[in-house]
Amino acid sequence: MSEFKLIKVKEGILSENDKKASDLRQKLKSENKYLINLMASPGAGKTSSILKIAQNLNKDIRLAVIEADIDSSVDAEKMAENNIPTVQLSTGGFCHLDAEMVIQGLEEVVKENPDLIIIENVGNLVCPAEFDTGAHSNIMILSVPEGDDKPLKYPLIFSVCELLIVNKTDMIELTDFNLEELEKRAKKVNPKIEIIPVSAKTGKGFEKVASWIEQKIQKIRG
Amino acid sequence: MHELPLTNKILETAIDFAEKNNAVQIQEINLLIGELSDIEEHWLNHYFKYISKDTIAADANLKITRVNIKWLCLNCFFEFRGDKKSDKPPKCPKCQETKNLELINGREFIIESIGII
Ligand SMILES: Nc1nc2c(ncn2[C@@H]2O[C@H](COP(=O)(O)OP(=O)(O)OP(=O)(O)O)[C@@H](O)[C@H]2O)c(=O)[nH]1
Ligand SMILES: [Mg+2]
Ligand SMILES: [Zn+2]
Repeated sequence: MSEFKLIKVKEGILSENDKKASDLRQKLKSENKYLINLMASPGAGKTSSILKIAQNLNKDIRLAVIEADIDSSVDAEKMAENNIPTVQLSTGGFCHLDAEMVIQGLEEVVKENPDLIIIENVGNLVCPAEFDTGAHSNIMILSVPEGDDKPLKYPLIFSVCELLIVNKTDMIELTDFNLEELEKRAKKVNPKIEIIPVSAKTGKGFEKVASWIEQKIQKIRG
Repeated sequence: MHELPLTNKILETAIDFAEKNNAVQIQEINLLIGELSDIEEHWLNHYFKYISKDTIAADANLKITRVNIKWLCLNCFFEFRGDKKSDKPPKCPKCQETKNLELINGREFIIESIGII
């Protein structure tokens, strides 16, 4: 009879993904390509926001999009209508994208030689936050109808994002959403987070989002 | 939720280490999970039971230790614990910095060790 032994493992469950993601980040940087991972709940306005960002970006910046709709190509079709090169990833019911899936998606869109690639991640505030996609920046959209208490309920996603876009501010009067309260709560888990209120309906605030992104692109080019 | 793919990864890694150590059975798997992670212990155990059937890890006990939030002040390099329940933003107790803080603990997801026979 053999006896009980405790073996040290010390292995990150996500270490394989983390490694792939960090290699991807390096590779894209050396090619002067900036990758953004956009995360939000279903219906928060990811697709609408990408379209507004595209309208506000400096025209020299070539944009491509990776769409991760669970089971439809509605969003990819909207991008195509706006002449934005897009690849539709079929996530097969997966709740998030990982670095490997992004690498596959990139194979398609790099043919267009984009300067900026935005991933529309699966609509979900929990799972995407755990998986590094290889993006240079994580951006999150929170929409007004979802409420200003979300940083308390989903702290992880707020902790991994550099920029928080607050969308649907055109509706703010109809709700008890409090921007200051939101800021306080978000900064509790991420003191460095930047916040830009917008409306993808009226377009308000997207010039700020576009210039935030342009500055990041400048920076990576050194 | 993503507990299922993560559970697969736990099982795979545990069996890999167990086999390298000539184990006949895995009795426990000790996990370190950050306080900020939304991983549900209940689902983790549930999926684990399901996928570990017919493996040497069947009936293994998943033991989860939560790792507290810890900040590093980039201004004075002091490390201090965060409080998930407090509604105040973190502040370096040494130099009062509130912005230049980096989260160094609280997001981990690690297999610390396995108990085998
Ligand atoms: N009032 C208002 N409605 C908006 C705004 N932005 C988006 N919407 C509406 O919200 C709905 C969802 O917008 P989408 O851009 O499709 O959101 P999404 O996050 O891409 O949704 P999924 O991909 O399905 O998860 C649509 O009916 C939009 O017209 C906004 O700023 N104000
Ligand atoms: Mg969409
Ligand atoms: Zn300090």
